[in-house]
Amino acid sequence: MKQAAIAESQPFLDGRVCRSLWRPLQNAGTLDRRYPRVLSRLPTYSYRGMNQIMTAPAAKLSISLPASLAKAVRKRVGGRGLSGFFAQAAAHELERQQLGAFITELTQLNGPPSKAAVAAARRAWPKR
Amino acid sequence: MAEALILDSEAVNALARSSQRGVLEDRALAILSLAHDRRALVRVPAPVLAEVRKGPRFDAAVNHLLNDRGITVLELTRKIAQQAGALLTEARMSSVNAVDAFVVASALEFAAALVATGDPKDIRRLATRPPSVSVFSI
Repeated sequence: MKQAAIAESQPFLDGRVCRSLWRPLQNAGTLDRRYPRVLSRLPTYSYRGMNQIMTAPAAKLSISLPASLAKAVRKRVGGRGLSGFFAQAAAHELERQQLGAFITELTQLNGPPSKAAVAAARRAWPKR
Repeated sequence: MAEALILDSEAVNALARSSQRGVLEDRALAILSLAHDRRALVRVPAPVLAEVRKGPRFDAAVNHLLNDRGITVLELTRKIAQQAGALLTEARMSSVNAVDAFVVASALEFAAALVATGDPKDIRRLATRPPSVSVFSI
């Protein structure tokens, strides 16, 4: 009862409070059955933003693309996965173009990266 | 899932204050250019933001970096947080290294990732699980 009261009165639980909830259950050997119930009391709004993309208002667009490409995409993701597929592709390409513009901006400001730094980067990140 | 470049606090600092950071900026720009060439995603784990907040004047530079520059904050999820806890336990490290663990756990969300960091020793100690996480010292 005491643990339940703590869980309901604390908007956010730190590690110490979580352990105080969890340990008595572990000691009593009832962890497997009751641990999910303790976790369900944790405030889920601490993860706000996790599903931001999914809950954002959607805009309908009509786009044209080569028939062969459309067929290949439909085959890959099915009819119901099209919006998600194109949203992900658009987000990736937009990020890539923004990153390219930022790199150009930094290069104009400070010059290109040195050959030594580029070589070190390539050594650290070998191609898969 | 795509490859990703994960920026730790030193890399974020180097890029946000690119006109003042000299060698650090040089290495940060090199790894950023490589990520662009490889079509990799560039992500800053949300807990890193706690380490780079240093007052309104500097925060503006960080916010500038994270707005429309193709560098996106990766939100902290329950899965990543629990993964970070497991990594700390395996490496026998304390919660003093929690942000490092969040960084590595975020990197493990991708098929392959490279962490750009000023603290390669601790990151390497945490990054032992497959798929392998590479480390680049800024």
